[in-house]
Amino acid sequence: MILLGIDTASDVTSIGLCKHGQPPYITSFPGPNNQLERIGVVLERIMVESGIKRSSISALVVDVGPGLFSGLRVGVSFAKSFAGAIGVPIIPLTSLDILAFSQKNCPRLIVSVLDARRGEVFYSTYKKVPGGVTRLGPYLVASPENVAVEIESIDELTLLVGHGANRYQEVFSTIPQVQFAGLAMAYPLTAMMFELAQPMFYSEQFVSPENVEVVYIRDADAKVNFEVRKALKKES
Amino acid sequence: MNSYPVTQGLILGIETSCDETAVAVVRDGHHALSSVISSQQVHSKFGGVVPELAGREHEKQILPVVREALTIAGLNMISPNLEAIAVTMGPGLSGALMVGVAAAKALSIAWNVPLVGVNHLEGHLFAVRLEDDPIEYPAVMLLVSGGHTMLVLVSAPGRYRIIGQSLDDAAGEAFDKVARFLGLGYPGGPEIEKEAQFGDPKAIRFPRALRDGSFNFSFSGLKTAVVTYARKNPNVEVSDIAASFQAAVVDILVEKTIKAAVENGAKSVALAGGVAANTILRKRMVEGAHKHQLAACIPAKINCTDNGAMIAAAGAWRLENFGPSDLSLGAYPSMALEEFAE
Ligand SMILES: [Zn+2]
Repeated sequence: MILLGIDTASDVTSIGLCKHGQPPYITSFPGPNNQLERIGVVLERIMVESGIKRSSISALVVDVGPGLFSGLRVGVSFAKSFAGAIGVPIIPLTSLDILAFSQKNCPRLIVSVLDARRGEVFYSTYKKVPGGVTRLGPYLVASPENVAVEIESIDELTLLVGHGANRYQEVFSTIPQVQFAGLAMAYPLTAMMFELAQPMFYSEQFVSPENVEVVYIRDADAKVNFEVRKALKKES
Repeated sequence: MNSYPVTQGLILGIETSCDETAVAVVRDGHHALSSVISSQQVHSKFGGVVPELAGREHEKQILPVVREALTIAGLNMISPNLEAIAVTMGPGLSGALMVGVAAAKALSIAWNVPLVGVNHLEGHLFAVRLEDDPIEYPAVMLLVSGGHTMLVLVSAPGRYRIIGQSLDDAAGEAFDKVARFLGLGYPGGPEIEKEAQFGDPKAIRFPRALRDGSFNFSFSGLKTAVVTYARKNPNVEVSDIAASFQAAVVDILVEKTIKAAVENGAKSVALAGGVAANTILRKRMVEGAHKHQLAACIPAKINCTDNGAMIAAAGAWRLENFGPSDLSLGAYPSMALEEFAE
C-alpha cells in the first residue's frame, strides 16, 4: 500500500510518499504563497527519489483545513485532480485532527490551535482514547484571548499543540498548569498524516475525490460584508 | 522560435480565470470535441464576482467538469491519450487561476503529458480558430468582456498589436453597472439585451464618447449619462433606456473596429470575449464589415464567453511554436497580452 500525502494548509507545506512499513519520502518547505509553483516540482522529485510510480499509488491523504485559503485550494485542487486521473480515493484529514493525533499518548485535555491570521486562531479540543484521540467538539475560530478563557473554564490539565499555540504563547501561558507540545509538532506534517491514515485506508475510510470538501469555518469576507450590509439596511 | 513536434493530437483546455469553470477537448487546435462550461451562480446576489467565493466554487467544480469534458469527447479519465494540457495562467482572479493551474499540473503529472500555460486574452483571440472558415490575416479583433475592451491588430497568430483600449470601464463592466442601476439582474450584458428587445434603441440619444479619431474607448461618460437621464425621467420605460444604451455601446464598438480595420489594411474583423455574445453587436459588426468589403469572423456564442476550447486552441499553437511550460508554472493575475513588433 502506497500513500501520497499533501498538506498545503499552513505556513509549512509538506508532500510525501509512503510505502507501508518503510520510512516515508517527505519534502517540507516554508510557504505560504509558493505552493502552486512548487507542488508539482516537489512531487516529481520525490517520485524519482523514491522510485515510486504514480500507477502504484493506492490513495491520497490530504489536509483539508482549516487553514490558509489559497494554499488549501491549491493543495486540494491538485489532490482531487491527481486522484481522479489515476483513479484512486482520498483520505481527507483535518489539520486540527492531525495535530491532536500527534499527541495521542498525552493523558491531558488536548487543544489543537492553528494561526488563522487577523488575530484569530482555529482550534478544537480532544482527549485520549485507545489507539488515538477523539474530538470533543466542533472546529472553531476565535481570538486567542477568548480561547484561553474557554480552556480555563474547562478546568482540566491541558496540552496545547500547533503553531497557533506557539505564536500566542504569552496569551495561553496565563492558563494554570498549561503545557505546550513544542515546535517539533507545530505544523500538521505528512509524516503524522501517514500514521493516522494507514489504518483508515485498510478499513476503507476514504472517499471518492469529488466528495472531498475543504473545511473553511470562516466565511468569505465579501459574503460577510454583504450580509452585514443587508442586515443594517433592514434595521434602518 | 524552436519547434516542438505536435501530432494531430487532442488538447485538454482548462479555464478558471473568473466565474466560469470551463474545460474542453480540442483536436488539431481547431475542432472542439467537447466544451463544458459551468457558470457560478453564487455571485448573482452580490451584483459582481466575489473573488474568494469564485475560488471555492472552482475548487468544487474542477474535477467534475474535467470528467464531463472527457466523457463527452469519448475519452477515458484514467488514460485519455492527450497531447497536452493547456491552462489559463492569467490574467484573472488570483485564487481562481490557482485552482486551474493546480489541477492542470496534477493531470499533467498523473497522465505524463506536457503542460502549456496560456494567456487568457490570447485564448479569446484564438476562438476564431474554432470556426470552420479559417480567418484571413491581418485581422482586427475586438475583444470585449467584463474585464477588457481592446482592439487588437493580429497580423498572424501570436503577432499582436493593441491599437486601442478602454480608458476607463470595460464594456461588460458598463453593462453590469447600468443593469444594476436599472434594477436588472447580473450579469448585466444578457439582462440589458433581454430588456432592450422590448425597447426603442432610438428613444434616447446617449452620447457616443471619444469620437476623437483614436481607437480608444470610454464608457464612464455614457454610464453617467444613462444614470442622470433615468433619474431625471423616472417615467421613461426601462426597456427604452436599455435599448438606447445598448445601441450607443454597439455603435461605438462597431464604428471603431471597422475604422481600425480599414486604416490598418486588415482583411477581416473578428469578435471575441463575453460581450461578443450580444446579438445586436454580432449583427451590426457583420453589416459594418460587409459595407467595407471586409470578412467578418463571429465565433459561436459558446466560444466567445470564457471557455476551455479557446484555451486548448491557443495552447495547441503555443505548444507547437514554443514548447511546453515548466512544471513550476504559476498564476499571473495581471498578465498583459504580449505584443510583438511588426
Ligand atoms: Zn474572458
